[in-house]
Amino acid sequence: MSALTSADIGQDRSARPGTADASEGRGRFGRVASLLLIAPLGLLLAAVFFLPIVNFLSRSFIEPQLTLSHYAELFGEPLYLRILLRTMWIALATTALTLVLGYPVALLMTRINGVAAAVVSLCVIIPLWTSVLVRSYAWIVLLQRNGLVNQSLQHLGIIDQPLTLLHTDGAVLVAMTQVLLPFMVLPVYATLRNIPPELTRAARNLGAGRLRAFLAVTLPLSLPGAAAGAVMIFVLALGFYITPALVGGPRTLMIATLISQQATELSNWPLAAALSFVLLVLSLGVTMAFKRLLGVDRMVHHG
Amino acid sequence: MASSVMRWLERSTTAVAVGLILAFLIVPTLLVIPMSVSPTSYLRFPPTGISFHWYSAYFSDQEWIAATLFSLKIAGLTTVASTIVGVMAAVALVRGRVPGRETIQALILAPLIVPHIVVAIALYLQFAPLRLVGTTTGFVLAHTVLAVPYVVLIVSAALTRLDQSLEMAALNLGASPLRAFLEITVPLTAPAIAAGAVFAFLASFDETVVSFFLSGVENKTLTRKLFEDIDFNLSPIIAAISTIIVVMTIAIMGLGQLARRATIRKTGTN
Amino acid sequence: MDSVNGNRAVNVPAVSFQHVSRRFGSVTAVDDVTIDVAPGEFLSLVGPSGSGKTTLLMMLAGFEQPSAGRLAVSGRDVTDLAPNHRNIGMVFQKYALFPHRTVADNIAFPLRMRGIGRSEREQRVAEVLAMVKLDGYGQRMPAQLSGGQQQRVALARAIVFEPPVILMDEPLGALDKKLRQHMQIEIKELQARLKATVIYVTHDQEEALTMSDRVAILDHGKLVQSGGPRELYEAPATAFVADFLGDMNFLPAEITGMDERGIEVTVGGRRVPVATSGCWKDKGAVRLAVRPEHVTVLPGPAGQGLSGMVDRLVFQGSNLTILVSVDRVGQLRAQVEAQSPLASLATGDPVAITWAPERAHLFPRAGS
Repeated sequence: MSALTSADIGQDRSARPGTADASEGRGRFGRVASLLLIAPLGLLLAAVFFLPIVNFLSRSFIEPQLTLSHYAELFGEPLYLRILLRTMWIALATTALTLVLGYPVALLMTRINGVAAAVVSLCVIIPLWTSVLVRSYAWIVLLQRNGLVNQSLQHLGIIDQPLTLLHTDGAVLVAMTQVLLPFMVLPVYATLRNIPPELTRAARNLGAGRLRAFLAVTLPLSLPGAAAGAVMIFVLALGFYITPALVGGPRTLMIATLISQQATELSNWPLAAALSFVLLVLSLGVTMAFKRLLGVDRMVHHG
Repeated sequence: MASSVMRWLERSTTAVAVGLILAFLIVPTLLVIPMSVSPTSYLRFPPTGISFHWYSAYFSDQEWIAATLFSLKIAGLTTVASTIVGVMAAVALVRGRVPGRETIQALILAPLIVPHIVVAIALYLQFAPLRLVGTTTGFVLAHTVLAVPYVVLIVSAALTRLDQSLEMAALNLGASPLRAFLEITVPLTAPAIAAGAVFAFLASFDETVVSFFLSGVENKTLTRKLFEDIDFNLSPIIAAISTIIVVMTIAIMGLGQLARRATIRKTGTN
Repeated sequence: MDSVNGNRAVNVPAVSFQHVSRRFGSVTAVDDVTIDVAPGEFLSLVGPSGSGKTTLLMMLAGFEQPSAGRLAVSGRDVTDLAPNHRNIGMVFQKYALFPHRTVADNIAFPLRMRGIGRSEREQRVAEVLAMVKLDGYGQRMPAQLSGGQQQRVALARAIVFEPPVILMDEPLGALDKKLRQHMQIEIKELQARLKATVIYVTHDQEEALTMSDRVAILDHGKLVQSGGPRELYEAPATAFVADFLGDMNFLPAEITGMDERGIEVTVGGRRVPVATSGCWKDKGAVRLAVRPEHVTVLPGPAGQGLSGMVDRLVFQGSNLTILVSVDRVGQLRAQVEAQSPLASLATGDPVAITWAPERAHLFPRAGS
């Protein structure tokens, strides 16, 4: 259990020698056969993904007639702006927290083996494989008024009255950090594992102390992994729905929960569409801007 | 002396810190297990005993069972559909001649990037007039779109890793392209195809947001019913179901992981 | 197991490349190559990496389509034929043994594709296994074999269906030196026994010289020269061939005069012996090439030829290389037997350098 799903996939990306001399014997399936092979997926995506999304988003521009009024409403209403800013703040804070918590775990994973390595790997992998719904539910149980956290704090005599933990920004932040943390650990681990140990030895041999060698060699070389993890987590966090909806509740909306509220409770489709468009532009914008860093392959699970 | 003490201190501090982070990862994940066997409806420490009451409650509740079966049916059909469609596309992308390969690859992966809430509402609006909301067809179409990128990613990676000269050798020795594909490519990438299928199954079975919007009064997925119950009445039945899901997922993913290893062994350097 | 169509007319080449070119975008990998391979001939394609030798092979096997030109096997045009209909044997660079099939299944594969029945398949597999000295290995998996054994299985699989031509793409590249030399002999013996036509791609010029009836040298996609190993070695047509095959000294030289008997060449201002058959019409700068083993070193100051000074002696087992600094020319290598009395030369000793006139080759000065 020392190697991990994402780490393996991450490696697959770097090890793609086939394309280098692909001029030799590439394209055994001709153009027609290739198109026929890819056509079913193309049609499916067109009809059940791109067309519905375009139809939905276009409602923000053409209902009731050609207009930008929904965007004016969106950016003119302080509540919406506040939710937008809160979403970005929470996404950014989640990213920072996962970086701070995830890096040491990844670093540790490169330095242990045997049973310890297996245990640490399982601690990272099992949450990744576990339903976000289940994990959000666990956070409710932990954080509610008579939940485990309040029980323990009272038991220890730290507090007299139970604290309000659930339905706060803090609760959303903590739960999202826990849900997304594996997405930081795995790419960082993958890059750390690919740093040749000779490099650190060389730095030490040349007179660098342990900390110095880490700062001069390991840290810079692991930045691509950390950056990939950060971009992925930020984008996932922006559009996160389940955790904010359950742990956050109606008073701490994020953009995804706001979209859902506009759609289901108010049937305000044009505004939901406008909000979705803003969310999509943000997500795609960040993804495109950091495309090189982001191994899409590493997105093994989705909230 | 002093430095070894320092080293020891440093190491134990690191160990404690990382231990706490790992606990933060794993405790909320596995918390549902003690909850599911707690005799009380609130989890208490120390626990007051063990009871499988919530499991029997789940298995005797018609609604839960119906939702579970519906989810399994959707996930099964989604697995079949996305594996077939995804393997075909992966073969075309890796071994075929496709104009604008990079762009097409990016488009296929788009469902992984677009937030599910956007997909969910868009599909709801598209499906409603077609009377596809709450139908098996509607769910399978939607989940296939969300699951197929995993199949394409995993199978493409295996095909890329597969030494192309093996297929060339088969052709050279007289096999038709189809025969070479069936006799050489498929057996050598079978574990990856299986792993892709596992991911597709879980992507569907686990999917919550789109299911939330597409579920009808009659046909509810398990995730939709869980979501409602978590939001409204937090019964420990949820913990029992969650435990079943966690155990099942870990078992399936473990198998999938073994399959992936097997492909890497088979198609890796030789 | 005679894989040559013995009753075919001798003048029909086993393989014929006619004005074959292959372009990848703006890169020309193979540039107007025309060459025939006679039945039973062992032809090596050699050249540095990127010279187009593998592309040429891939086009013959059908994995690359020529941008121009035609390909024929035993007189039949195969240019537009799918790879699986070409009936050409091939040994791939890394063998390409099917890892999920036993050795016997690997070898039987082409027979099965040709609809040959089980009993005949088994018999022929046993025959070729014996031929490559792997009797009894049929039920092993490829991964259980050593590199040399895998190489033999690949060979067996390529000959079992008795193709008229066998292609080999750097088949020994993955083996260590000892095993490689051993397999060179074995492949050569097998080819002679089967009287098979073989086209052999390698970047190892020594290997090509050892094994081939004929060597074709490629550079930047062009066929530079083809001929018997000895002919190429002794009469290289271009400076590239001279440099690529074996070891060669290149000296800046000048044609200073010419008459009906020949031309007069000087190196560093001194006249040197040259008997060139090339038709040099103009005076001017040229490159003179002479192989180290053809350089004669005479101790003592020069009476004739070039004068120089010993830089260093390099012992190489059976041979000794003497590095000589030639006045106004540069360093030159001479190779003599290790037992030669010249072994007693010491750094700084004055020597005279000369060579037999027919051993010197002249090439145009680069860029002129």
